Amino acid sequence: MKLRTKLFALIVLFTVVFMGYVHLQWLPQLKMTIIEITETEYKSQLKSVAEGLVPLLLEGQLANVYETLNAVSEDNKNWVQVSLKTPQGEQLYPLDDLPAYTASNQTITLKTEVGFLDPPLAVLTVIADLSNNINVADRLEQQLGTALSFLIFAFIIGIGAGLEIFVRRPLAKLSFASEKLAHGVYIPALPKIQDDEIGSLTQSFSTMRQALMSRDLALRGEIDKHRRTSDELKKAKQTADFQAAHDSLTGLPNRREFERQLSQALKDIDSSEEKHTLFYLDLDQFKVVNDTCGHIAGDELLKQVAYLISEEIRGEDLIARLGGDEFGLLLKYCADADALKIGNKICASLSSHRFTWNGLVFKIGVSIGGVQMSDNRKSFELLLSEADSACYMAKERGRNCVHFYSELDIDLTSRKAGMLWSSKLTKALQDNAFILYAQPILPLSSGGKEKHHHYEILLRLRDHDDNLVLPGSFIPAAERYGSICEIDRWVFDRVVSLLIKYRDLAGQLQFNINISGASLGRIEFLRHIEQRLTSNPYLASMLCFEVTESEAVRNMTQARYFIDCLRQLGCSFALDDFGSGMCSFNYLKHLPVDYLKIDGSFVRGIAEDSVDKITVKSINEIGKAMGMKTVAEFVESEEIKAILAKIGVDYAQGYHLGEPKPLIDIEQLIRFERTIQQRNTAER
Amino acid sequence: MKRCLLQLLVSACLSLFSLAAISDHGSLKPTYTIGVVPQFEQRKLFKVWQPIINELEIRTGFSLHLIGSAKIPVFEQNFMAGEYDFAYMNPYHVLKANKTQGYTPLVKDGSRRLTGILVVKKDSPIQSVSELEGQILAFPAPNALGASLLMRADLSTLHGISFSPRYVQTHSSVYLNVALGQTVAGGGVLSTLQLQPQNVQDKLRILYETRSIAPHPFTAHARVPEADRLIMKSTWIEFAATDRGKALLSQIPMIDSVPAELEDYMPMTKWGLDAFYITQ
Repeated sequence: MKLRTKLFALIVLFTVVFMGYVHLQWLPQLKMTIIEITETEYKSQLKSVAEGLVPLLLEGQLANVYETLNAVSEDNKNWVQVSLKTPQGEQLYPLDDLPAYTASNQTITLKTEVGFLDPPLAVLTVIADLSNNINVADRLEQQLGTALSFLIFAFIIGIGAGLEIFVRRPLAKLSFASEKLAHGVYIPALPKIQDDEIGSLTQSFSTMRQALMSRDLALRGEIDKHRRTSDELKKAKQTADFQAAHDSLTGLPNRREFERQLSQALKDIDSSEEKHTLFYLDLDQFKVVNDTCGHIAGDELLKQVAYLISEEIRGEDLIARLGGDEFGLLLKYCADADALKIGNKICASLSSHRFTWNGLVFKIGVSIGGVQMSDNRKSFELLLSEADSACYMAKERGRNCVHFYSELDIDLTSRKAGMLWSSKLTKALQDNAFILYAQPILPLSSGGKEKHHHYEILLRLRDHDDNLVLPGSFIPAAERYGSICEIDRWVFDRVVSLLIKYRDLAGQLQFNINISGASLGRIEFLRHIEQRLTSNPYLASMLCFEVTESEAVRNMTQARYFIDCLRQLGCSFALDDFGSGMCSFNYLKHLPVDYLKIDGSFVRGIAEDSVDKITVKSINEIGKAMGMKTVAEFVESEEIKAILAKIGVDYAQGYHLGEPKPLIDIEQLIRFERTIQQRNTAER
Repeated sequence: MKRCLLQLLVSACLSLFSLAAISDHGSLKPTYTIGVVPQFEQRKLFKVWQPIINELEIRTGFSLHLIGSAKIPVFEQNFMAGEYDFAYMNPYHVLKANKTQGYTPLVKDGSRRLTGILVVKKDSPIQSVSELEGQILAFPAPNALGASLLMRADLSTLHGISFSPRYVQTHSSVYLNVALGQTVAGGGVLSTLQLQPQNVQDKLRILYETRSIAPHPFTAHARVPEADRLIMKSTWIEFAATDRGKALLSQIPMIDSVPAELEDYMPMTKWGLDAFYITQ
């Protein structure tokens, strides 16, 4: 029940009880009181009259008695009958017989004795009609009732209005505000604060609401802060998850993610018919770009490559960057010819792409090793190793091609064997299993220089089966596993130890020693060379260090320092394989070398390919212009030699001019060389 | 000098007052006082008498002043002291007034005579005065002429009966006492009986009537000049002849105003009323 109803009911109850009391108890009593008052008044009046009659009766002045009583009757209209009788019952007043008057409930009969003695002089009797008084009482009752009703009504209205205004409405407002407060709404207006209990309640409520609001706001702020932190953490986690699974540079999945998906793909294979293909991709010219133009260019190239590869694969395929310039590609439910097709497309796309950086244009390529994934449940590591091997084979087979792994692949067997190079090379160094070979470098214009002997030192490894292994088999492994520097040092020390014996040949004999890029950066190796040359100064003129164009460019600063240091001591330098990686002569300015060795790939086809010829010619001219001697490699026929001579290349090297021979005895070597030269001269 | 001036001023004032008095007197307007026996209560008395006095004042040219008195004994003392120039009084008073102050009657009601009556209750067994021996009899007052003096004198002297008088102040009381059986008989006069309510009259029977005498006269004091007495007498009679005069005078009551002489009242002197007169 609402407060208003309760209050209304209470007021109505109060009114009913009050009015009931007034009507049933109070007003009748009032009536009785009025009648009693009237009666008392009449009695008193009657007594006065009786007293007034005493002297008159004593003196027998009945006329005066009559006048008095007549006057009394006249004055009291309600006294319907006034009579005076002697104690004996004789009627003194009025004169005539009294009419019988029937007493009703509206009349009263009052009697009083006249005189103070017993028996009295007379008895005065009055019958009074109270109807007027009763009417008056009734009217009074009615008026009082009405007045009280009005009063009560006004009282109720007043109390009701008071309760409504001062209690119920403020309470209703407070209740509304409380309800809203429960829902976190703080706006509803509060009652005006009066100086009463409701006012103090309102004040308390207001204070409480303020406190709640500020606490709520603080809490919301806190929650918002936490939510923001949580969002940031979530984002950070997503980013971290993404970063954990992706390569930050290319945006491609990383090695781990690739491994995960590959494992999943392996599990997905249900039957022997279903096959996936795993490609291992290795960029051919990445190192050149990276070393030449800086890692920013390298990064850009990787991005472009990632994009190009992505363009060639299907939606369900997965391309990932496994590290450096190596990519992994998972072709789902795709094998054999289809996979090869995709691989070839990638090769074609990349080989036709030209990477441009600061005016430099690079031709790039990719070697792809593939492996079929069937239900034979090979581990990820094994699969990747097989793909890596196949990739290596692809590189071996001339780069920018696809090679599938095969158990029967002999190349791959040797590659497999190559995986053991690390330990093999270490052992070879310990066992002195390396053998030095020397190939003569001959001048094309024979202008009395017969006495000057020039050789390039080459390296061979004798394996445990006594087979000679070519550098192409173990140098990449040596480079990969870091033993190349030890090998370089070994070669240097060996050559030096040989040359020391031929001190008298200084000025006539020159050995070209190949220095790897890694060794160029080894300052202790440089110091080692310097020390040896300083202790044996004549050695310097007998030594020429060959640095490949790509290695020099990749380690330009170090290379420059290396070259400068040793040239000051009197050593010469040759830039090896020139033209194989670059299409720019710009670096030549920065590399103060003495010889420019034109890459064999141009020289080999010089007789047939005019472009090769022009290239060789250009390189030759540039080299000359820069004050360098030019050397042509891979000279395999007389025809090539003739063309080179005609172009004006200074030196030539190749099987046609002299095969590499084991360097055991220098005198024997020189003798052999002379034999060859004589034979060649004879052939001409 | 100062004293002379004051004396002059005082004497001047006194002369002025004297002149005023002379001029008043000189206007020929004599001033007389009129006394009336208190036969009615005062209010009624003035109501009846003041219009008559006013009329007479105009008609006579006198300045007349009505003087009331509360009770009959006071009235008697006053006229016996000669307080009133003119007075209306009962016949017995006339004799006493004449004897003491020389009052002489001027006019009287010629339509009737004053007779005392003795009433008994109508159904009373009493048939003669003699039956009243030893009884208590009601009378208005001891000296009421017709109802008391004449009656008591008659009953005692003419009928030789003894009785106990009970004076009940008024004629009406006498009648009521008798009618209600409080006294066996009571003295009154015919005129007052006739004024009683019918139911009172119906309950009464006249048992006896006294000797009669001329009714109340309007009298003049001996000091009133003869001319003025005559003017008053003639004016009264003239006025009584008018309708207004009749109407006003009948209230006294004086139905028929005729000249009155002292001789009209002289027979009473022989009735020995003085013996029954009770001085209060």
